[in-house]
Amino acid sequence: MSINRRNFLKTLGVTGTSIIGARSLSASPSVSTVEMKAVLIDTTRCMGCQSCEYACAEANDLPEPEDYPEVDVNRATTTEQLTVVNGYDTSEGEIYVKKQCFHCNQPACDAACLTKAMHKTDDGPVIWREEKCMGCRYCMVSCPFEVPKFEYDSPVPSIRKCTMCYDRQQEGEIPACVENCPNEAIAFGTRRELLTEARRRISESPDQYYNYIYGEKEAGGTGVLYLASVPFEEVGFDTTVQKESYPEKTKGFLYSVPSIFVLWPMMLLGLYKSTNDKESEDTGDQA
Amino acid sequence: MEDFVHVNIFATKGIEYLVVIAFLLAIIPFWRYLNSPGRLTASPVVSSIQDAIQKMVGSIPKGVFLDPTHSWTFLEPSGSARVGVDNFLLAATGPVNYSELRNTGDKITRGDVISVLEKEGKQLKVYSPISGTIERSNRKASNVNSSDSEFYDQGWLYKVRPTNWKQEVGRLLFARKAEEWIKAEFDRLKDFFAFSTGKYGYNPEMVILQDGGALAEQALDQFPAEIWVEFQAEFIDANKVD
Amino acid sequence: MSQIETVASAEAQADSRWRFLLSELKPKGKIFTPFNIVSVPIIILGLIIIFIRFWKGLGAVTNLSQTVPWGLWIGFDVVTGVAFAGGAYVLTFMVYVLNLKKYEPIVRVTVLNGFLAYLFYAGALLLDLGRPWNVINPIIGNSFGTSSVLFLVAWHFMLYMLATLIEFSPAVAEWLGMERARRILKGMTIGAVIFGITLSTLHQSGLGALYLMAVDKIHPLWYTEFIPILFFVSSIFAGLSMVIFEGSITYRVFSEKVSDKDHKHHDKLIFGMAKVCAGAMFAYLFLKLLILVHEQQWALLSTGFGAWYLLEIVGFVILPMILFISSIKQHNLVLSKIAAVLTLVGIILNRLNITVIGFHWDAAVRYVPTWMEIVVTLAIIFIEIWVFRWVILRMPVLSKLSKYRKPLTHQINEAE
Repeated sequence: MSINRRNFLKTLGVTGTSIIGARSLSASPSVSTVEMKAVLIDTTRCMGCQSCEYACAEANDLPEPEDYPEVDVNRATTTEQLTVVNGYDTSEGEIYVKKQCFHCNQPACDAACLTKAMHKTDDGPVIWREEKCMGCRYCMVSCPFEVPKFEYDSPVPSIRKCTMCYDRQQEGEIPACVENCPNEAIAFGTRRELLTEARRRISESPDQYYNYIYGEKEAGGTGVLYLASVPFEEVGFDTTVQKESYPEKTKGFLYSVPSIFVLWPMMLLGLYKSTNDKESEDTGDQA
Repeated sequence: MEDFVHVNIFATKGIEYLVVIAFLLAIIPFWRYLNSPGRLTASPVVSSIQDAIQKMVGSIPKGVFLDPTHSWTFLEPSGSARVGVDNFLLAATGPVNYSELRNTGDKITRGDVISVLEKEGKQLKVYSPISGTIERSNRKASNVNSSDSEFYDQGWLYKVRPTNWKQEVGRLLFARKAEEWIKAEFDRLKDFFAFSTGKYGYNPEMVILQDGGALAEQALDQFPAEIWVEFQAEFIDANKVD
Repeated sequence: MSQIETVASAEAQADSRWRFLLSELKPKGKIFTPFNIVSVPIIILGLIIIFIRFWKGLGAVTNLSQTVPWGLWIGFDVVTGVAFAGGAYVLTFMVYVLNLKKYEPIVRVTVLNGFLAYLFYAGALLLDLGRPWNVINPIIGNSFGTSSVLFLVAWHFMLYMLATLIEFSPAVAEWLGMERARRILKGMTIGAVIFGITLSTLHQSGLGALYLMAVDKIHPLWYTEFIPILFFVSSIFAGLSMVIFEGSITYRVFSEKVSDKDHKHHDKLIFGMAKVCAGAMFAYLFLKLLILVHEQQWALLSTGFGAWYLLEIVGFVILPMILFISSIKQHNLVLSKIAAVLTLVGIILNRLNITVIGFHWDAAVRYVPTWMEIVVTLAIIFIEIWVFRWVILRMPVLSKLSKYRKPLTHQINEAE
């Protein structure tokens, strides 16, 4: 909590009073006042050393990875590997890409969860809360990146996914993978800072980067941003992912539910009255 | 701004659902109140009763004989007679259940109790207009509405093989006489409600004079058992002639 | 004086009510019927598999995977089963709201079916939950996930079960001879009906809305933003077809419970429901066409999945619609029943195409349910039929009020 407040105050200090004015005008309970944290992964700097995988395993009490990135072998995250690095053979040579939860700005899993077990914190990370989850796996159905993983072989199963080391963040530390990356391929900060940083890198070395930040718009914006030297479909990214957020898909339905609850009973009562009220109908005809 | 801080587009859903629950709870008393009888001026009331009389009188088919105790009989070509409760009574009570007191083969004499109209524990006894042997009883009688055009076809209680038709039918009312009698009974009913409701401290307007239609009908429905007892005495027992 | 006697005997009745209940619990009829011989082993096997599922985890008995988290138990038991149970809200709408009294004789059996279907098929949801002990969380309110479609659907299931229970409860009260309770419950019927129809509208469509966020995973010929509307409209003819299908079986098996007159009457009702089905299907077809145009996916019709899509539409919507219409015109009951079966197959196809067959249609490894998933599904269906049979043989469901009124009139007769 302390880091949030400190950070928040710092942000206020940096951005000045004009922003505060704007905030207080649009103040509504559904808009958080905390800047979301994010991660920037620069695949041009990644060497596929798996340091992040080992650090992740250690931080989450998981077994160390037994396989290693091979070109054109798609390793998926599992209940025991919350992040994996995959290699791709591209026009620019071998490129390694770290995969984990995207921590969407408006996550499908969070909207899908009927117990609020899957939860988008105001700080940015999307976390899973054991004591709330009933294991319906609707988050898995909804997630466009198929990140949440379910322990099918356990009678007391958990949903496992990257939490952006939320617990470490609470203690003022940065995510384990960021801390242990030897080549500074992974950066941690507020989403605003990291987007600025990503744009800066692209504009300073336009030859080195493909001019696109994956995650800026995808699925309504994600908390993990990617830079690459090649078009993103070459390195295993789904570029057909919609740009609007996934909860928007159910907005039409969910927004209309309360109206139907009000209109249907009234309409049905009226219909009932008109078909079951013979007397007044008859005299109505005579009059 | 939204791209940097968390926005929950469903933040108000929970409150909205609470509003919906409040609506669903409120709609029940609202609907009841909306459809409860309100106070009306005198003129539409009179005309609505007029309507009811008109309808009732017009709906007595030829060949139907009324007994002053508000039962009726009709002789079928086959020789058996339908017996039932007249729609004046049913108009006053609204839909009722009949307790069948008589089985097929029973012999009845004119004036015997042939059925009891039941509604929520309140009862009216009905007497037979004729004597004879019961051939059939009609379980579906209570499904027939007093304002149905098929009332005299479907709403009978028994088919009776009459033993003394010619004599007894002479005491019954039919055609013009029946119509005028029914009209008179309606006037009496109005007075009855005005008087007896006052006696028990009910506001007569509250019940008889409902919104516009023939809602003088079912007026009795809303009153307690003591008024039913008076009604029995006033409109059924007092009309008994032998 | 007759009243006093009635009250006295009612009290005696109350005393013997427990003895009566115990005697009713005993099985009636033959034990070794073909149905029992088939269903009992499957139920026992199903229960064993359910035990293994809770002991070893879902992976031990199902083929569910990280990419296909919902399989047969959700796609068939819940999504399809609930569509089949739609007959209850359609019929209560017709009888209580529209006042179409002629359908009254079949309302009770349909509502009973609806209630049991929700109890068992939606109850199958519990088997599918990884952490079922937390199922109380969205109920007791320590974590209301109000942004979830599933939250809505789950609540609607529970509330709708309550509504159908109230709608059916007069039959239970009659069975137990509790006249007062019956009258009170009967008075609640219209409220329960209106509440139930509203809930049904929302959760029938809500089951479709569950899949709205799986936009990239469902085959584009089936995925549309209008899934909720399609699910709602198709639940109308799915439910009524189930009533026709199930009614023709019930009326044969429990023949002695139904009077000749009701048998004849039932035939008339089938044509009436066939007409509603044909109308709903006609509208459904044009909705499907509109959506095909709107989504601009017609190029896909020439693919293998396109042929599969056309088979679903032509073979299991258009064909049964035509059969329904010609059965009405030719007054041919058999045609109606065939059409109902085809419609039901079509609904199974449609729901499975969205939830299982078309889900990750392009994946290298496809989800195919294990035999154990199928056995559990069958076991659930059989248990439901057992309960249904138990109720039918005891409570006044198929036979009308007359059965229950008899003792009352006897009492009055004796008093006289």
